[in-house]
Amino acid sequence: MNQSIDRLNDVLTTKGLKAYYLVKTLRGGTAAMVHAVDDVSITVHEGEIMGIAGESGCGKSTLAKALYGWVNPPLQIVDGSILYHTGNETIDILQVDADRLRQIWWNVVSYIPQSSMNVLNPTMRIKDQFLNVIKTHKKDYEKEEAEATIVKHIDELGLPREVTTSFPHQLSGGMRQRVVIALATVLDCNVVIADEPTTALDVIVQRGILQLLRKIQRKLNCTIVTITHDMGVHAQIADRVAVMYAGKIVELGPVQKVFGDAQNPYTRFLISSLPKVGDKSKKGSIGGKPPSLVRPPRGCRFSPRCPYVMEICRTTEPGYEEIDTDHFASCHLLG
Amino acid sequence: MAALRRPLSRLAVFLTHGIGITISVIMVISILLLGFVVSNFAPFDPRRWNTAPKDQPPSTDKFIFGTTSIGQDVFWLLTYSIRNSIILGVVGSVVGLAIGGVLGLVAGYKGGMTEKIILTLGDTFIVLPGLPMLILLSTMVKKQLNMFLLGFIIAALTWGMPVRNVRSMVLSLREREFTHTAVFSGFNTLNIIASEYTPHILPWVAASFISRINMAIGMEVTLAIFGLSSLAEGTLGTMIYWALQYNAMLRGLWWWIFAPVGMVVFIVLGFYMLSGGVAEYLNPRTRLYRIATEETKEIESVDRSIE
Amino acid sequence: MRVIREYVIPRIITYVAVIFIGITVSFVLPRLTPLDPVILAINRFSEYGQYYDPESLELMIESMKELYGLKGSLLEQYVNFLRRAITGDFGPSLAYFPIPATDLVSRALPWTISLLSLSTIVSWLVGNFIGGVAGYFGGRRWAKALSVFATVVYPTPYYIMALLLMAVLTYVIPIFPTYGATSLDPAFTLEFIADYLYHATLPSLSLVVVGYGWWFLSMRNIVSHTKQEEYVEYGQIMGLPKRTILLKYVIRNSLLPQITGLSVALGGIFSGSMITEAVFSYPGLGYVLLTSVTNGDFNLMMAIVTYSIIAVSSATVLLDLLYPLIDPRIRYK
Repeated sequence: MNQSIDRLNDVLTTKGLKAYYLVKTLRGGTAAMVHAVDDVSITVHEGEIMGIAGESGCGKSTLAKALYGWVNPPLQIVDGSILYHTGNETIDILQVDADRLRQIWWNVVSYIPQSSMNVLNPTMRIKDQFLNVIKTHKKDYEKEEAEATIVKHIDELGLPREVTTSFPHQLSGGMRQRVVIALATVLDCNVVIADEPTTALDVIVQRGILQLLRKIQRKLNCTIVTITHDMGVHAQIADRVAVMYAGKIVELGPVQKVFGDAQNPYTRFLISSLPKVGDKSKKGSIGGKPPSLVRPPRGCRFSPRCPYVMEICRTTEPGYEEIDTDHFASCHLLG
Repeated sequence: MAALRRPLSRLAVFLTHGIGITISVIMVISILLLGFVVSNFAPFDPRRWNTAPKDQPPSTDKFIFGTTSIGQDVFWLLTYSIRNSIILGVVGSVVGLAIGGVLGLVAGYKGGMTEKIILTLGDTFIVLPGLPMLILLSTMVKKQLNMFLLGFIIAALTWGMPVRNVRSMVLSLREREFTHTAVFSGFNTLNIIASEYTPHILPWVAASFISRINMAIGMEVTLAIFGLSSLAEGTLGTMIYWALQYNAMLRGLWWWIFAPVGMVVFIVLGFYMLSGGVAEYLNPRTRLYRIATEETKEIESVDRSIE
Repeated sequence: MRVIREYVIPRIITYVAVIFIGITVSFVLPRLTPLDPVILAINRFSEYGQYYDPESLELMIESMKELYGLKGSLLEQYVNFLRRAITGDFGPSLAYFPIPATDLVSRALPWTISLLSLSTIVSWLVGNFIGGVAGYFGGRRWAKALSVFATVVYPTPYYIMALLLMAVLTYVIPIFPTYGATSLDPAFTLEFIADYLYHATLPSLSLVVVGYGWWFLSMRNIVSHTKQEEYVEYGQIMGLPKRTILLKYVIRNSLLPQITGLSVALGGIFSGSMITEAVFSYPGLGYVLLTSVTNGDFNLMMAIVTYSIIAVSSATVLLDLLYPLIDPRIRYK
């Protein structure tokens, strides 16, 4: 888990990313804009596991889809860039055409969707679903070679071989999740974006999934971006963690620092909600609920709920500063 | 007058909801007008033979749709036949729907052995090939056949389908909250069925009623080819039968055959589109959207009038 | 395996029950009507100018009653009927006396089954496939045009369609023969098969067109739901080509409920093919039915009704039992 992180090898960078949902009201007239991802700039280092945390509705799922390039109406990228740095080149996936994008998928970046129980075609054997993906994304496809690759991959990840000849309904929920992870990594993967990989699974199965993710990172040298509201997951496998609130990143840094010495009040609140062994202190919850992303509050978006709120918080948005090596935070309380 | 405005505006929304509905409503209304209003103006009983010169092609001044080989005016005969076919269709549809619907309600609500028996009976009638049975029965009652009797026979053979549909609707309704509330409030079975479930089932009933009319008319037309429909009464089917008997097509009397055939197509198309439109209009999901837009429009118009 | 037995046995029980009830109903209903087939027949003979003195009339009525199985009490008749039906004895046909009714039916059955299977399979495949593609590509103009066509064709009664096709393709543009199934003797020669197909084109076209409407519309409906399933979206996320998603994700999964739909629709399709046969004088069950009606041939009618019930029920149960083998979710448990 504590890999040495080479800061010079960044794999994915976003600059000022703005992704909004343009919603038409019932009357079919004026649109409303949901500021799901509002000016997000993050960098993902090669070979790390970057966690993106936050409550439901903070925009992290939208960020996941945007990072992958799965942008369909009513979702629109309004501003910013998403850059993938492969060995030879840097690609802004927001600028490429649909065909190029499909080439990039699964070769540069792959995606593990939410609720993976139901994403497998019920009438297709697992092996065939693998073959389809390989055939689509590998230039010179040969069936036997592909089949060998599949078997090797399955073994490497520790999945039983019978999985390949099964149909999805014959597998348990946890096994299906593992299959989807295997699917996402069967070709030489660079970046894997996993959206809520452990939600809806019980704790024991969760552990297995997390171990699998770590195995992928180590054995296959994948870079993983895990998006989940479950702070426990980030605590277990993330190298760095970014905390999102109301469409913005409020803190980003190495997991030790963020968990041990959070600089942003919201981060501190999230972390304190995690039960720790031996900690008998009362867990409080902050009143209120996440703000509307249609009309976000002026100034700092957390100000209506923040226990340390000051006058300036209500009027001006705090800046996003690097307060320590590779540790960023946004709050008026700082420096 | 003001009290009528709301239901009238609702009707207007329905009628203009989509081009499909508008067209089908126009079609159905013209069919009903022809059959029930215009037919009364026939100068003589159109069924009677030799009331008009035979084999006349359609002309604009005398016989709009021409005449038949038995000396009948095709136009007036057509309107009369429409009326009979519609009556037959409605009877067959309503009676079958009533039997099947009630049995389906009971099956769904009671469950257990009752449900199994009703279902097996209903399924038998679904699988039973209707045509041979229909023919068998019609042959037996040939002499006394009239529109109502024919409608009843059709109903007796087609009550199986509504049973399954209504039962599955009841099954899903049974599990919902308001059933338990009603039971705890002490309603008995009949009461629950009548007051609580019927409003939810009604949309399907309306659409089914309309499409069953098509089915009944189709069955009658089919009977007619076997000469088994009520030849005395005069329906669209019997019109076709007579035209075939006299080899209208081969002798070049195309109007005699195409008038009833075209009319059948027109009727089934109109009713089919209407039933589709009704089903879509009453679909709970789009209904909410529509009610919301209506109410928004009302509020807007009130706002505007206040300004 | 046990699950399959829990499914197969009840289904077969229902199958037997349906046949039994169906035959009983077809036995009871005619006897509830005031008309007596014997009187009918006698009247018919008188129309032809026959005169009978009272004695011979008595004898005639007696022997006819026996032929029609109308002798004795209702229960006696019923038992008699069942007993004879099991051996396939429906008595002699009146119109083709003394040929047994069963023989006439068994001669006609192969024609009906061949026409029916051919047309049903074609319309099911074509309608479902086109409906699936049209449902997937929703808004395009050609999809909408196809939908309109299906909408017009679907409610049209089989009979009307048969008449229309006959009018257009044998009269207006005389390409096809108006009647019969073949001018040659049945044999497995290419000549015969070609001739048969030539004759069978119009009746099967009539069935296929009407059937197409139904399958197109229902498939389009199913596909519009399947399109929104999570696994379809995932297929798109994986960047799979549109063809793969259309065929292997959307249509393949949408066909499953259509198989069930087929078993429900079989009764109606069977009736439809009988009508079509009658219009085109195609020597199948429908044509024989027409003959039996025109001649007041009660025995023949009972035979046709009974065999129809058995045929449709058997096809339905066959389809129902095959379904678990096709749907992988049931086949592998």
